[in-house]
Order: sequence, then structure tokens, then C-alpha cells
Amino acid sequence: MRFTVPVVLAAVFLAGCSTPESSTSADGATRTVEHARGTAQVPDAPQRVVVLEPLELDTAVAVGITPVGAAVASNTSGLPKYLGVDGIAPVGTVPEPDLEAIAALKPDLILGTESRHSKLYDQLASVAPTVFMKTQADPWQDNAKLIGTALNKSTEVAGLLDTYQQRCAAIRSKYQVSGTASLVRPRDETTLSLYGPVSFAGSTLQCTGFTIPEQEWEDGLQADISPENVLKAKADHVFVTTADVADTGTVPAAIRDNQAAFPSVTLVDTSVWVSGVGPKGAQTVLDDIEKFLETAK
Amino acid sequence: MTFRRLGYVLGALAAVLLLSLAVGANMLSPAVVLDTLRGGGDAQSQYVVTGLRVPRTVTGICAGVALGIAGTLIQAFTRNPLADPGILGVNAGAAFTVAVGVAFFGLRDIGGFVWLAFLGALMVTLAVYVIGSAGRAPADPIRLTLAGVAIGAVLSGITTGLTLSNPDAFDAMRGWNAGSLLGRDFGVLLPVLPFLLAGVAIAIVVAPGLNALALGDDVARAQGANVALIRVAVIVAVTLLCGTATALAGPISFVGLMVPHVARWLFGVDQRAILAASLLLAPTMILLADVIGRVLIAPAEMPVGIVTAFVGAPVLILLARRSRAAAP
Amino acid sequence: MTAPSSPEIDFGHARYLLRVGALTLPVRRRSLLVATGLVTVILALAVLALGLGTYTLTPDQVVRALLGQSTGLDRTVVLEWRLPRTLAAVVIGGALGIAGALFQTVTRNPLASPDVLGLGNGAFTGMLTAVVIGATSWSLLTLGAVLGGTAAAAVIWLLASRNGVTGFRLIIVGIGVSALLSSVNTWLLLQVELDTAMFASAWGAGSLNGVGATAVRGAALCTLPLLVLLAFAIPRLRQMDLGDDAATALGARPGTARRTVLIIGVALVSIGTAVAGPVAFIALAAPQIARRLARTPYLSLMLSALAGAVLLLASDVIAQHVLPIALPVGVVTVSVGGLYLITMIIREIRR
Repeated sequence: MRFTVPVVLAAVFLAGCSTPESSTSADGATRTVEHARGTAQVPDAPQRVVVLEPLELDTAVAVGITPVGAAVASNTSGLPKYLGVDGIAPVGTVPEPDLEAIAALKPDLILGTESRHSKLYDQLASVAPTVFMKTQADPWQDNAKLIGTALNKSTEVAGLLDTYQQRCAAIRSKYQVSGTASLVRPRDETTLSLYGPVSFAGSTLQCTGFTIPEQEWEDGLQADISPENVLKAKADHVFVTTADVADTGTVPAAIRDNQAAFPSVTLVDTSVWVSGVGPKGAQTVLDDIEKFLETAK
Repeated sequence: MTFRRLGYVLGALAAVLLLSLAVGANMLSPAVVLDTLRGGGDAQSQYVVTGLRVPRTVTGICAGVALGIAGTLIQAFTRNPLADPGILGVNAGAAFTVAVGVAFFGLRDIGGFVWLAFLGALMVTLAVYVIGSAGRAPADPIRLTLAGVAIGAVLSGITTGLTLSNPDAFDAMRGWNAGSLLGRDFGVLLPVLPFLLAGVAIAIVVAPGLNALALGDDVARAQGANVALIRVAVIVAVTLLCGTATALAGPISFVGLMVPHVARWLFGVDQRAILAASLLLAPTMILLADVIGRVLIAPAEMPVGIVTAFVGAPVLILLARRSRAAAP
Repeated sequence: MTAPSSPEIDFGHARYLLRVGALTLPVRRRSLLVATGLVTVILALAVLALGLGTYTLTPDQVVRALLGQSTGLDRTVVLEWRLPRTLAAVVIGGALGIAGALFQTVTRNPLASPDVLGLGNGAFTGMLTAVVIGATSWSLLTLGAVLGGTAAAAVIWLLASRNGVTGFRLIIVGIGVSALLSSVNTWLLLQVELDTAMFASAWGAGSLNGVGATAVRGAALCTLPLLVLLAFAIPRLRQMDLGDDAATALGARPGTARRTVLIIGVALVSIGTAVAGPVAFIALAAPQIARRLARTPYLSLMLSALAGAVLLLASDVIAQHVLPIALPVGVVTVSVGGLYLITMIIREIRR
């Protein structure tokens, strides 16, 4: 007790000394960007961008800005391979970005997400102008547009989203796509998740002309089923997400044991179909769909 | 009185056995289920009943027997009614090895999980025993408990670290942590069975000694019991049983803690009676929890480990509130 | 101030008498030594924590920055980026250590900790619920956590009270509700997307990442009155060590004292949760470590606080700088605390 009080008093005193200073001023022309945490003065042509969210990384790379640093989903696997970029410094993980590593890169723009990095905003903003999207759960195309605005690449992002729609339509007419498709993500022994028409890959399947069979969707995103109800996933084509598309052993037992009901099962990469949210990821999903249709033809 | 209660217990077990075969996320009619069990039915009902419900029921019985007996043994051994079989760090050890398997060796198959989990459980109990029983007094319960908590904490910290830096491992572990009876077919089940049977056999042999142990070391010695031997036997049995249960079904909480309390409440303080009753009550509880989990959020399922906590916690709280007998 | 005394009664241990004005407090010599040692370790760790990082500073530079003798980046790095985090580790570690000592004294069980009242699990449930219903801002998640933790504690308290609360019943009910909540958490984690679940888990482990000056100041200011209140309760606490009957015979009202002390404990833990999330194991391990170091017959609050601060600070240094990958501090506190307990057990056996 007798020692705790002085320690705590010292704590109060020292903390009082460390009043944060006003944020650093950026050189050159700036614009005002509205975002989830208010407004930020963002450089017109950001040169050193740090991104803390996979969608922001994907979008930045897609519009031709290679970030200097990115928070990675996993320390072990690093940056998503489908992006085909390297030379981006890792700055911690998406849930735990490393503030000092970010500051060391001397960024002129930081992109983050309110739902994940809320607590870090003030400290990030003292390093560089920081723009937050609200949540990664919002429709990805809306978030991509905000990222486009922050990077001063609105036209490019809009163009990418148009290209995506056009390519969908092109695939649909080229392969005369019809019929139903289910997208299954095996969760564990107890649960299979079906992705709905609003989800990232689900919406891509729909826009190429497949119909996703009706389920009891949660917000159109997802529906979980027990293996007992695996026949609910029945469709002309079933896509199953996996970490290793070459390993047919990753097809869940419930589907393997009911082969008669599932004539067409295709393994697809989880890191693209589930996690690869963004304009580049969407193109990669379309690549996969086109490859599938080419083989099926 | 005792016989009537035994009748109730047996009746309850029989009832949940039937329920476990008849009820699920896919609501087949009882007639279809019966037909399928006789060898009829269509492809779907055969898959659901013989492909899923029969093996999960068997898994549930095995895991239940193991947890019930392990719980009784550990509570008698530590003279602590709070002791859970997991207190010796078994769950943490199993989770650790499974996480290592997923993170570093890309393991995905539930059959592989079973052996890794078993290995982890064995290694940790061994470490707990070595640390907790070195020196003068062999296998002092309090020190063993502390060692179990400590080693369990170290391992769970490492496991969390591993999974937080590896999404694949995290995804696999959040499923495994919930505990499930599904996907363990007979190919997985049969090789584990000898360990379960060995554990049960040791428990039956050691049961009379537990009564002596409950009276304290000195009294036990005065009665001619070999306290050290009983302790070692109990630890071997708990390791085998708890390892089997965790390997088969993942870390199912509460069954091992709660069932002996219910058994004591129904049949009194004789450890042999508690052991026998736990052997029947624990599978009943696990299967009941599993059946509830299947129908609660159909067409999806809630893993059994989540439901056991919901079934077990209220019962335990009621017991704690009503009886002074539960106090040490 | 202090002088070795020759006590008329042999207490079986060397003591100093500490005189502050009219107050005279006997202080065990070993406790004083241990306290000095712990404070030294805290200071050393703090200098280390303030110096290490992407931008590394020598201890010399750190001290100069702390004394206000440096400008520019040194100053920013030490005072603005690292000091709040370091202080947070000391304040929260201390608060958790005290809370743990309170819980273990009241329940007279060395395995009791605030988690007995489901605070950790309850906080995580509250935070996860906020995530699941779509809250995004840090303040809402924190609110969810604090509400969840205190609600869990209240429910456990209510369920455990029947003709007063006994330590034993409290623990049983606590274990029951905690296990229930932990299952709810496992279930909620399965309900959200993988990346969200990982984010929530990192928080749920307890993390000092991004703790700012405002949060530390708030935490310290909230802790202070609780400590003052506690100073009055200490004599009661010592009586409680003797058991309810003895305490009642000595004129104490164990029920009231127990309630007050537990409420203070809950509040201390909630402050920690608000700043860093539910950091595990400090409250459990710190009092036991302190007791073994100082060989006191009871759990000293002061030493528990210091041990807690050392544990949390050391864990954070390890989490940030020693491990190959940066992890939330809670992941390390669990391991460090556990390892320390193991060595304690082994040493005790050797003796």
C-alpha cells in the first residue's frame, strides 16, 4: 500500500507530462477527406501509404499504388499471394498493428478500419493523416470507393468496379452460364457455412449468371447448416473453399459421403474467395470461375 | 430408495440413447429412423442415421464414461469438489499439440487430431506429475493442482499465441475448442478404445481405496491402504480417461466436474457408488446436451461442448445453493 | 524514520518500526527488502521498455528524455508513444495484483482470482456481443466489456448469496457462471468471420497496444480513491485471514467487510479491463509470487501490487520485443505467470 500510492501518484504526474502534441503537418497540396472518424487532410498525391486492412491493400495495389507498409492477416503467411506484389514492409497484424514500425516508414497516409483500429486512431493520426473506413462488413464496393477517394484515385476505382461488372457480363454471355451454384465453407465437424448472394464471392458467382439456391440467410451473407442437412447445399455446381486446392481430402466428409447428390465439386482458394475482398481479389475469383467454365465446357 | 433412483438413472440413459438416434437437425420422422435402422430408408436417411447419428452416439457414450469416471477420481483424489479432470492441464495440453499440428504440420484431419490430442494430454499429465510430486511427499494433491494450473496456463498462452499468428490454426482451434461428437467414425474410435477400457479397469480396481483416501492420508494409512500406490493409479487412470475423452470430443467442459456431484447427491458418499453412478450419468448428460445442440438452432447445430456448459452450470449452481453437504 | 527495534514479543521475523507522525507501523525486514527489489526491477524494466522498439534508445537517452532534457524524436518516442504504455502496464499490473490479493484473502483460496467472479469471461462476452451486434468504435467495445464484466460479477454474487456469501459457494457459483460465459464466448467466436474472430481474440487476451496518455491518466485517477478506501479495510482483511468465526469474535463484521473488499476488487479489475481488456493470470499469480518471495503469512497488498506491475511490464516487454512476432500481452502473462508458479513450486519442493 505505502508504495503503491507513490507509484500511482508518479503515474498520474508523468502521464500529465505527456500531453500529445498536435499532429504533424503534411507538406504539399492537401484535400479534405470525410471518413468514419471525421475528416482528414490528405495529400493530393500520397507517396508513402500504409494500409492496415486487406481490402485497403487490395484496392491500393489495384489502382497502382504499392503501399510502403501493410498489416498482414497472418505473421506466417504474410501478404496474400494473389496480389503478386512484394517489397511491402509488414507492420504487425491486422488486429495488432505495430505503431512504431508504421512511424518508422514515415508514411504520408494511413488507411485503417474503425471497427478494428478505433483505439489507435489518435496515435496513428499523430504519425500521418489517417483515413478509416467504418467496418469491413460493409459492402466492399462502397469501401473500395472510399479508399479511392482517400488515395485520390476515385476515377480509377470506379473504372475497376465497372470492369468487374463488364467482365461478369462477358463471362455470362460467353459461356451461356445458367443453373445453380453453392459456395460452401467447411467450418468444423459440426458446421458447414454456405455463402449467400450478398457475400463477396457469392455476389461474384451471381453476377456471372449462377443462381445461389435460397437458404435461411443471415443478411444474405451466410447460412450455417449441420452435416445432417448437407443436401440443402445441393446445386448443379458446388464450390468448396480450402487452404489447398490440390488436396481433395479437404472436401468435407458430408459432401464426400453423399457423392450422388454432388456431381460437380470444385475446390477454390479460401485466401481469395473468402479473404481476397477487393477489386483485385474479385478479378482473381472471376479467373477461377472462368477456368472452371472452360474445363466444364 | 436407492434402487428406485438407479432405475431412474438407467431409464434416463435409455431415453437419451433413443433420442440421440431419433432426433437431429434434419427432422426425419421416427418411422423413417426405425426403418433405416432396420436396413431400409433412402440414401439421405441412411447417411443421417447410420452415417452420422450412430457413430456420434457411440462417441458420446465413450467420452461420457471417460469424463464421468475421471471426474469422480480426480475429486476424490484432490479431496476438492471443485476439481475438474481438466485441472491437471489435460485440455490445455491437448489443445497445444493440436494447435502445433495445425500450425506447423498443416494437419486438418480429425483422425490426426485424436492422436495428437491424446499425446498432448499424456505429456502434460506426466509433466504435472513430475513437477507436482518431486521431493518428499509424493503426489501431494494441492501441489499437483497448482502444477496443473501453472502448466495449463503456460501452454494455453502459447496456444493462443500460435493461433493468433496463424489464421488456419485459429480457424481449426475455434471449432475444436467447442467440442463435438461429429466426424469421429469407427476408424477413429476403435484404436482409442483400449485406452478407455484400461482407464475404466484401473478405476474399478482402485475404487475401494478412494473411500480410505477421502478420510485423509493418516486415516487411510492406518486402515492399511497404500496411499502412494492409490495416487499413482488414480493419476494413470485420469490421464488415460481424460486423454481419451478430450481426444475424441475436444475439451468438453463441466461433465467431469458436475456429474460426480449429482451422483453424490443421488447415491451418497460411497466412492464406489459415485463411480458407478457417474459411469451412467455422464453419457446421459453428454448425449442429452448433444441432442439439444442438434435441434436448438436447426438447420445448423450447436457443438456439444457449448451445450454441456448450459446444461451443467445451472445444475451446479443449484447444488451449491441448496446443499451444505457440498462444502469441504 | 525507520530503526531496527528490539520487540518485546518475538514475532519470529525481523521487523522495522515505521513511524509516520503519530502512526507506528511494524514492517518486516524481508518485506521491505523484497519491495525495494521489486521497485528496482520495475524501474529497470521501464527504462528497457521505454528504450526498446523500432527506434531504439540507450538507457541514458531514455532517462534524459524522462527528465525533459531531450527534444525532437527522442522526446516524442519516449514520452508520447512508449510512456503511456509502460505506465499502463505498471498501473494495471498493480491494480490486478491488489485485486487478486483481495479475492484470495476473502475466499481464503490461493486459486481464487477475479475470474472467480467471471470478470474476464464476462468482459469478453460483453465485448463480443458488442462486436456481433455491429459496434465498431473502441469506446463501445470497452463499454461492452466493462458492463459484461460487472454484470457477470453481480449475477455470480446474487446467485452465491444465501444467508450471506461464503467463499466456497462463491467459488462454485463463479466457476459455473464462468464456464457458461466461456462457452458463450466460444460460440460467439464461431458466429463471426475468421478475421473478426481473430481481432476479438487478440483483444480478449488482453493487449496494451495503442494505450494512450488519456487512458492511463483516467485509470490512475480511478484507482487512487479505491486505494484510499482500501487502506481503511486492511485491518479487517487481516482478521478475515483467521476465518469467519474468529473474525466475528474479534468484533469484525465479516459480511460487510467482505462485500466492500470484493467490490473494490471488482472495480480495480474493471479499470484494467477498460484500458487493456481482460489480462489473465496477473491477479492469480502476483499475490502468490509476492507471498513466496517475502514469506509473509498473509497476502501483502503492497507486495502483490508490485509483483503484479513487474509481471505485466515484463510480459509486455517480452510480448513486444523478445518474441519473433508481436503478440497481445495477455498471451504472455499467462505463460510468464505460469512459468513463475512452476519454478516456485519446484523451489518449494527442493527446500
